Amino acid sequence: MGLTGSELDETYAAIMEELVATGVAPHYAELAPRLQISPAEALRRITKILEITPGWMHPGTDYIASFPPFNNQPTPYRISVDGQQQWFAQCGFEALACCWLFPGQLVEIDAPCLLGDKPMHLEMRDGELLLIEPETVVGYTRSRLGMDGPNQPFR
Amino acid sequence: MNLFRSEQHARRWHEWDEEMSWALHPVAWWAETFGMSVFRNRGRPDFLTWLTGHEGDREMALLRLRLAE
Repeated sequence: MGLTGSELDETYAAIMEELVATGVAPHYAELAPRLQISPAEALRRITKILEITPGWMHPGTDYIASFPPFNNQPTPYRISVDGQQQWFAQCGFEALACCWLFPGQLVEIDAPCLLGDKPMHLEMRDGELLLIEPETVVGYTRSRLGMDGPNQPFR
Repeated sequence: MNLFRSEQHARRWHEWDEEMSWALHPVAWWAETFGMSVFRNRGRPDFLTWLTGHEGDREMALLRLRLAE
């Protein structure tokens, strides 16, 4: 049986709310009672959501590894909100999108230098870059932002 | 999809690929890109319906255009 848009919306929102609140994506068995559905149905919905968004399960498991802009596994991109470091961003670019989930709050991004130089520190609020240390920070990817797959809108 | 202290740092990265040099931008450019609706709207209760609907299609097209600049 197909999934309705509202079922997927409800599931996506519940996962995102948990991530925003705790920094951790729920396991499908934790999500199920919240949505008053079976664990199997929760897993089916998560699988479908990860087909149409740039998130993924950890390979070989049914654990959410990445649910952008956040990552369930630690990455070099540490996110703090109002001084509390509790989140990891999927990547350097998605780190810049985390602030949209914390409206009005100060979001800090701390990342090491991949070349062993001093770390970087950025501060944002509602999309505005308030502080960039050093001022010369750039973003770069060697991977094409793949958008050819019809079900992978911006992976 | 990484942040670097400077363009010089990015170019010295062991995974630097000159063919992808178009993807090197100041962090402010990437912040603006990741401030587009497809990223900003993730907190909407109907995000997936929005993303896969007419408006989401239009916003995805705008994102593609920006990345093709």
